[in-house]
Amino acid sequence: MKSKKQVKPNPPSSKIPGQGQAADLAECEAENKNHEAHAATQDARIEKAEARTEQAEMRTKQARVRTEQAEARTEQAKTRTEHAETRSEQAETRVAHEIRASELSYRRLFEAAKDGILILEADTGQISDVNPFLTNMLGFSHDELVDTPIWELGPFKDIVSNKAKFEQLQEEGYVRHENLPLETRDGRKIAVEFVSNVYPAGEHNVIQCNVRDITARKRTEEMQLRLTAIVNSSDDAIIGKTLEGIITSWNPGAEKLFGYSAAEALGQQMLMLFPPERVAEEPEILARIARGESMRHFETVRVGKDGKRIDVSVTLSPIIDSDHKIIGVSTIARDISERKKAEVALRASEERYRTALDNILESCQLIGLDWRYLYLNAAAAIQNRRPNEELLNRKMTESWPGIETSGVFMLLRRCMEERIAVQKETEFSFPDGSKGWFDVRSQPVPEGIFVLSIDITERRQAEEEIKRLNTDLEQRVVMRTAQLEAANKELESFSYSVSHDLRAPLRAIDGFSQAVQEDFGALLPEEGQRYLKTIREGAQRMGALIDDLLTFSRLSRLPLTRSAVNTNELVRALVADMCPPAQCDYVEIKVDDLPPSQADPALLKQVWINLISNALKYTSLRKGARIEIGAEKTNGATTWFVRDNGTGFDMRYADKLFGVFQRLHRAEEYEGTGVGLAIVRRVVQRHGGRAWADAELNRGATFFFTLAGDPEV
Amino acid sequence: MKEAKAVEILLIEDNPQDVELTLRALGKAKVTNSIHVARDGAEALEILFGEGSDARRRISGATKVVLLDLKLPKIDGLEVLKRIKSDPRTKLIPVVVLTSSREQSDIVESYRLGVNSYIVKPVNFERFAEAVQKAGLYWLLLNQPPHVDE
Repeated sequence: MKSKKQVKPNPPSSKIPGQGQAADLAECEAENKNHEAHAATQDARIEKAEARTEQAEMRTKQARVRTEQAEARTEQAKTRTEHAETRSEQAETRVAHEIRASELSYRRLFEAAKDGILILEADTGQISDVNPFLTNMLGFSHDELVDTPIWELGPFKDIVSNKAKFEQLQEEGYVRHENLPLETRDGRKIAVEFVSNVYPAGEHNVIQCNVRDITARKRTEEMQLRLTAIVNSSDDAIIGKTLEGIITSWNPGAEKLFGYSAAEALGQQMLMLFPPERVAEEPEILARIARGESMRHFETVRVGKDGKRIDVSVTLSPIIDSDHKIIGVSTIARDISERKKAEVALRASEERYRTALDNILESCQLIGLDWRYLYLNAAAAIQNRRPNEELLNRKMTESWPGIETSGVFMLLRRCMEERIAVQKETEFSFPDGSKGWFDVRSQPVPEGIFVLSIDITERRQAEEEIKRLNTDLEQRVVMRTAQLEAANKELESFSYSVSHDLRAPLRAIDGFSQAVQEDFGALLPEEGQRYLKTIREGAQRMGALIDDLLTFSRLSRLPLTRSAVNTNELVRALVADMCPPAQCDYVEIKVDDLPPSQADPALLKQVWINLISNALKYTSLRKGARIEIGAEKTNGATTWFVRDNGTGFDMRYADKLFGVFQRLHRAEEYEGTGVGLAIVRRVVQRHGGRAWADAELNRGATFFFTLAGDPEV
Repeated sequence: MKEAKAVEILLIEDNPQDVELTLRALGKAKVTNSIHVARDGAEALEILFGEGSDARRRISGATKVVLLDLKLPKIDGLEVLKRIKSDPRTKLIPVVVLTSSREQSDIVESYRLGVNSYIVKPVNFERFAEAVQKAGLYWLLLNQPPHVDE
């Protein structure tokens, strides 16, 4: 081991980087070829060629050449001389030369190795040598480490904490730790790969430990794994290709998108994915990438294995090696057929809505958050009474000076600021002074507000007109009522004078005629007396006419007060009163059971009086006279009737029956003024009912009437 | 006695024909009491309450019945009735309304004011005379007025 230490100092070589190292490597390799055995498996395990060579050799215990070599290394020149003696002169010279060269190159390798190397005495555990790389890695100086038992050194305590452990390690001969945490002198944690081999060197064993800092490698590996996972799990097709367009990588996403497996795609021309009309894209892509450009989200069409066209968005970027050289193209392709389809559908939908908006009759306006008109449909132009071009992209407040104080604007501002839907019918004054009514609805949208408005000017005008007409009508009703009241008053005073003033002269005519008769009757011839009698009859008849007319007038004017009337009682009392049995033996009067009625009692009584007296009058000349009084119910309404078998009348004159002063019989046959039935009809009409008659000449007549408001039975 | 004969019947009527017929009817009934005719409401009130001659002052005390038409010039019959029935000196004098009016309002108002009889004058003279005679005789002969201390 001493000899090694002597050889060790070789500062220049230990610091040779790059090419020096490569030269050593070449030299070493050349030498190795001359030796018989190199374990290929050990070569593979260690990446760096120089270390690998040395380690493999040291580990091999069978080859005699190697034994000699090891001896040579430890025994130095003396041993080498012995060798020389055992061989031919020529061979000796050659071997000695080779060993010297080998020794030198191993030392160089040891010094320059990019792995930490530790040589231990197998029996003592003392460090006999350590290379500069390891002292750098751990932060200890060479002298601090050499001649120290390994278990006393902090960094290695985790591996061999005591001598016993160390011996165990020796027995195992070979220990390998893939990923061992070590702490450097300044407390930094590093991950190392730690391999130790025990092998004999001369009469005792040495242990060589190779310590490699794998912190960065581990990080890279993890990164690599992560990236690989990302690439493999991505739905996007991630493809690598050379600058010539040959596919070099193909992820599962690519397989899924294009249908080719990685095995099918690798090595193929990227052009196989291009549809014929887009083949020209490839040279351009390659040229641009070669210039160092990237292409992002380039939308195009590619063809899958099944020939189907696929809409894709492609991002292309150069692959650059560690020398900043562009060595290929990274292609990330995303399937956008669904998006394209959706875009087409969306565009169609938008088109439809826009067309619909453009054409609907309501005015639609989209107003931005800054109050600028963003959209106006055709109806808006009509409602605004100005072309949309005047308003588009202009602010509402600029377009309509003074609009800030209008009801419309206040409504819209509420919508805009409070972000709530609003609706109102409001009047708007246009700049030219004209006005219109609008039903305005506004709701907040991301861009601002959407305003929908309907021109309701005509409707409002119609409503105003109706209101005006109603007011007008009410006024007219008030006026007419007043007129009617005045007319009624007039009629009242008219009746008053009729009853008072017209009867006074009649009384005089009648009174003085009688005075003549009484005082001068004896002086008058018979003819004169008859004339006087006729004068008196005329006067009295006129008195009767006036009385009936006044009754008719009074019944028309009196207020109607309905109440429940016991018709049965009323009619029976009237019959008994008007036709006492003693005077009415000529007529049989049958009164049915009559339902009650809702009517003005006094007026209803007059109706029954008139109808009963009428029946009595026209049966007075008949033998076997019969009068029937009853009620029939049809459709829930009661029809009352008075039927007689008297004179009757010709139905041709039925329409005259209920008129005032209308008579169907001559005065000398039946007396009467012709007002009775007119009163019946008037009273019945005032109750909302009607009166009519059915008759046959000389066979009798039936008079019917109804009273609206009869109670349901 | 003759010059001092008190007015026992006061007829208030503006229509001369009615006045004549009324007087004729009363005459035929042998009513011989002294009758005074007033031709309008104002004159009637003057006779009843006026401050003029002594003779007229005596009327109120002796009047046994007032026959009153409602429709009168100047002051109408209802007003006259109201004055008669609201004055303590005259309120006990029987008043018979003799009128052509059958108006319910007139009848109701008359009774409300305290009329003693309400007679509608018929056109037929016989019935008119009968009514006048009955009313006149009743109040003149049959009715026993209360004694009032003056």
